[in-house]
Amino acid sequence: MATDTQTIRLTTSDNVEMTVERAVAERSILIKNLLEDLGGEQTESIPVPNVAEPVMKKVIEWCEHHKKDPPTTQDDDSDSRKKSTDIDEWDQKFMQVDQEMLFEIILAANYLDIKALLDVGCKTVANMIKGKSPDEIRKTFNIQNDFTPEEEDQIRRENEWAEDR
Amino acid sequence: MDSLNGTTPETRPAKRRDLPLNLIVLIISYLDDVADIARITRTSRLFYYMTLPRLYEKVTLRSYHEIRYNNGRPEGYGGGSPFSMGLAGLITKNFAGYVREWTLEGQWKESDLDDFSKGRVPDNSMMLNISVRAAMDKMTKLESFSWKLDTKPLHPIYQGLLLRPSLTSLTLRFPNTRTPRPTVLIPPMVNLRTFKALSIDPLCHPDDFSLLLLECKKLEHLLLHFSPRMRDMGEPSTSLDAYFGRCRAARHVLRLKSMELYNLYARHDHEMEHIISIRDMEKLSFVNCISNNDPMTVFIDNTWSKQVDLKMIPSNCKTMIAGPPDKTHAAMLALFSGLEKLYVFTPRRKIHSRATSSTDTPIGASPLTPTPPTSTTSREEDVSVASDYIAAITVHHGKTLRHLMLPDHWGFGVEVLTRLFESCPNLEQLAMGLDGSDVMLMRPFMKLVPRLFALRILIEPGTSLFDQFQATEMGMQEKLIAAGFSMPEYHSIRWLGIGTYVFELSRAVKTDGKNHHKGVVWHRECRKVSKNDVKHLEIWNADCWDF
Repeated sequence: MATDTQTIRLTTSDNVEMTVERAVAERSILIKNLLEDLGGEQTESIPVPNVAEPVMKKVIEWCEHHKKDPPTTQDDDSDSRKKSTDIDEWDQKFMQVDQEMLFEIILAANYLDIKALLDVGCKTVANMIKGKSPDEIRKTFNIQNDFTPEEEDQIRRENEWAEDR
Repeated sequence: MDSLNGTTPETRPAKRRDLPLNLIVLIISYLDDVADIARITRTSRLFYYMTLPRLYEKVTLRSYHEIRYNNGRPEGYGGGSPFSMGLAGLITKNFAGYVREWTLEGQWKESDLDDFSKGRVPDNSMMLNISVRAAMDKMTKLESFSWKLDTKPLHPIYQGLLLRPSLTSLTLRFPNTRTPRPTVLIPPMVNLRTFKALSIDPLCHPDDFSLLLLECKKLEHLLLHFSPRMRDMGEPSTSLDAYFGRCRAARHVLRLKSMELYNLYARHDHEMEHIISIRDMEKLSFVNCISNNDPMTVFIDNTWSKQVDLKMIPSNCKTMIAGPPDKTHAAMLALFSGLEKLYVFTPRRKIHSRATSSTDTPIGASPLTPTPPTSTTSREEDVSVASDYIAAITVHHGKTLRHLMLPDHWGFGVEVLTRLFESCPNLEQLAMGLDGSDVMLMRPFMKLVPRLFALRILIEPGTSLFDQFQATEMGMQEKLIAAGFSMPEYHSIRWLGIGTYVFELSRAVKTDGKNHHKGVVWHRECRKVSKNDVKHLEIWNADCWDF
């Protein structure tokens, strides 16, 4: 096919222009819809104002690898009851970045509407907070503790049943 | 690193951005361990209110005989035990309304047992029942209730359950103490669909659920698990009439979708097939119930074997769990077709380590007894039973079968494997013994079962092979498996069990290694995982029957 490796250009928030294969970029529903709305050959660069170049690079890398995935991988029936935080091995390696980058990827996936990537990102964070203390969870998400020590202790006691091993 | 917050960077991505609340909620939705969710409720007020409904959706309160310690501190230090504090919370706070599934389990320290002999329920048992009832009365959405404490629920609980029209599932585990105590005629809860009674022993005052069986017209799933004492001791202390007698008298036919019986040791009652309609059943379990090989139980069990009546053929059955393998069962399998899941295994019981007090009913100590072909069955008989099963499976169920488990002491060779794989192209999960347990034996036939992703090679405990594999060096097993399962024939396999071990295999990737003679070289990683990681796969839990 002639249009097999059609490419498009993207401009990131830090004004870097990137050339990407159209099929890869279309993993993003935002870009896909945009291209469809514009119709025809897209010659102008598409601005992506919410994503900086280093993050965009990572996102593109993921999209490249998952280019051939079926559109919805939701009902993989036989093994579907596997743990919700089960992550494909390649994705696990891909997500081995610092927390800052991880959050940026999640935000980018959310903005660009790449559901599978958003899921992987969120699962990675979920795995990170497994077994963590409330204080560590607060640090991860930058949550302000507005409990008095007494209140916190009261809640801990009330819910201690849940931490039974 | 979180000292960075405060200033809001706009263009510099080097500074950390926080996730919006909706994404944090999405992340939390992936947590499935209540302990994690409980810790999130303690982080801030907002998160407390946001995650509390999830925390209280499924509540399990466990009680323990002894005080347990957490880093040297008793659990519940400065207050009550987690069990009682949880109960107190449910009663005094307003989150009982979130509860859909509630389980109470563990050991309840009964004091003043003398009161029972004076004809009175001791206060601490009564108080427990009243508190549970108080909490239950606030659970407007309660769908499933399980009582697995080693004391019995009393009237207040059953009365409370009657007031819960949302209740569809009830599980009761009866204690195994012979101390005299009141028994309750369990009232029927109209919307009940699932009823499970565990550890029933007529000498330990189980409550009477015969009225429930008669009156709960929506009942679809029934599980009766008897105390193994009766089979172990050859004491037929129960009769089916005790449970189904009311149905029989009223000529009521139970139209169930699933029925599971464990450790039943009772005479076959001629009317059974008129009480329970087997024809419409989708799932049937019959474990450690009938065995013609055990001299201890043969006289009673024989009353069953004579009765393969046409009415007893579960022609719509999709799932069947049975053990030990038995000629009658094999014959029954040959009378219908369309099974999707079949698990046949030899039940072996683990040693119960807890000390049995004099008031407890003795739990027969059958330590990992390889009951199977030993005593009275000869090797030939075993082979003939096995071939009956293989014939029934290949001829009648092969096309539809997705899960299959066969007993560990049947080691199949190439010939049977070929037949089996050829006739069962849709297999997804398989558990079986192998002749010599060489997994590579399966290689030529793997292409016949392209959907097989979980394979469990069973090795009979106590055999030399079992010891041999157990003794293989750590790390070595993984290497060997990874190498063997890199072959393209095995690429669909993700979960592999060998003996007591479970391994997870990664997706196969092409390596850079150039091997022009053989073509592509594949690489896979193998990782030892815990049984917990495969608990969602039926071939790892169908044979867990000792509740």
